[in-house]
Amino acid sequence: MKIKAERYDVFARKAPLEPLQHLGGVSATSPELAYVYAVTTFDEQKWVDVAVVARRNIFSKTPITG
Amino acid sequence: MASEAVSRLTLGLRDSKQVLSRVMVSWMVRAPSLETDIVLAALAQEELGHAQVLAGIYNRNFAGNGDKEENADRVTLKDPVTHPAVRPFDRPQETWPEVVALLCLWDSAVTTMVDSLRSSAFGPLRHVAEKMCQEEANHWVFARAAAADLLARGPQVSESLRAACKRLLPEVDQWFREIADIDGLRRDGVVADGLPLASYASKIGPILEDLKLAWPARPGAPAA
Repeated sequence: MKIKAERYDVFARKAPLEPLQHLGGVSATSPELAYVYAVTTFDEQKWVDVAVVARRNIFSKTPITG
Repeated sequence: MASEAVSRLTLGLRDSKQVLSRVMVSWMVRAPSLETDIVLAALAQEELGHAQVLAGIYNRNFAGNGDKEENADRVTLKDPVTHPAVRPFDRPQETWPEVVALLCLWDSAVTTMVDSLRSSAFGPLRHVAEKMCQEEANHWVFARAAAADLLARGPQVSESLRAACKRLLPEVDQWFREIADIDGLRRDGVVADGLPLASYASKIGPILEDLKLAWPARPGAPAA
C-alpha cells in the first residue's frame, strides 16, 4: 500500500512573542514526521517554537507553489 | 553508594548510545527519504555527543587515574562495545522496520533510563540527564511517527515491523536486567523510584497495543 506524502510549510521564531517566520517546506506522511523533519532540517538557529502546517489547510485565492 | 553498579550503568549507557549512533549512521544514507536521512544524521550526532559525555564521566569517576591519557581503563569513542547488556544490539539492522523497531523499543528504553537519573544521588549523571532528555525529545516523536507510517503501509509492512519488535522485546527486557543492579541503584537513590520500568511500560504500551504485542512476562516486569 502506498501512502502519500504531502507538503507542510514550516514556521519558527527565535524568541517568545516574536512573529513566526516562514522557513520553507518539507514533505511528510504525517504532521509528527513533518515536525521532526522540520526541526532537523532547519536547525541553523536555536528556535524557541517550530510549527508545521499542512499546505492543504492554508486558504488562499491563488495557488501556493514551492 | 555502590560505585561498581554506577560505573556499570555509566558504561552501559555509553555503550548503548554508541551502538544507537552506529545504527543511525549506517542508515542515514539509505533511509526511505532524504528528510529521514537528515533526521538520522541529527539523532546520531546527539547519541554520539551523549556517548562522549558519558565516557568522560566514566573516565573521571571510575577509570583509575581519572583524566590521565595513559590510563588503560579509559574509554574513548573508538573503543568497541564491551557491556554485556549492549552486545546483542551491536549488529547490522537489515531493514527499515528493524531500525524503526530499535528506535521505538530500545532507544526509548535508553532514554527512559537516562530520565530516571534526573534527580540521581550521583551528581555527574544527574547534571547531564536533564539536557540529554531534552535533546532526545524528538527521538520519541520520530520513532512513534515512523512506526505509524509503517503501520499505514499495509499488512506486509506492518507485519515486518511487528516481527522486528517481537524479536527485540526480550532483548530490551534483558538489557534492563543487565545494564546494572537497578534495585540496588534505586535503594541508593541513583535511580528514581518507580522508574525506569514502569515509565517505560507506559511509554511503549500504545505501540505494543497497535502491534498486538505484550512485554515478555517475568516477575516484577511491567504490565504492557
